[in-house]
Amino acid sequence: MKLDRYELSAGQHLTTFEFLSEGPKGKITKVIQFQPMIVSNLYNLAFGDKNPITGELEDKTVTGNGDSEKVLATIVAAIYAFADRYPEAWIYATGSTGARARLYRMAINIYFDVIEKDFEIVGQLENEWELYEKGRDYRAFAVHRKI
Amino acid sequence: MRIMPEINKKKPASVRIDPSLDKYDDVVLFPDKLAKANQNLKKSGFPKLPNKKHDR
Repeated sequence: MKLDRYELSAGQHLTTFEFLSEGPKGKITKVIQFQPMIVSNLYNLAFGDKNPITGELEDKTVTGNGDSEKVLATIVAAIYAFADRYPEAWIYATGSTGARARLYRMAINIYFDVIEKDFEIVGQLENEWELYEKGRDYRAFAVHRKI
Repeated sequence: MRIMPEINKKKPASVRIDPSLDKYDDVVLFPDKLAKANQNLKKSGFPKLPNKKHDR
């Protein structure tokens, strides 16, 4: 499945990515970073906007560029790139806001059939994990490239 | 940042390499988000799952 997405840039180690979201609010730089967590081989997927004036990063803003599906496809592309470079890694994602959590759930549900072919997916309930099931209300999820 | 060894160093076709982003390799850009994620993990831990098949 070929998804419409933005062009991605990344540092040579593929841990930090940037792309430009374009829409009614103008060109907004989006930043994705895979951050090592307290568990070995587990990386947090962090994502937010770069403030065009201050350069500060904000992960709770709603850009309003009307391109959420294209943004999601771009994040998925970054996940593929990172996971191909670090196939032992698990990638953890949780929303910084309720809206962002819904965005991530939407991404998984939209692309589930594609992602499931290439990734193991687990969902985090309040105090436990299980294999991801579409439509369930997880607080977070984690994916791992199938080897 | 603590990054594991890179297994596949081939540049992905879908990504343009921009050396100016290398400066963020040792910087946590969203520290609050990372703290929240780590806090979430403390409640449930992370399952020790085999790579190819998971048990519930």
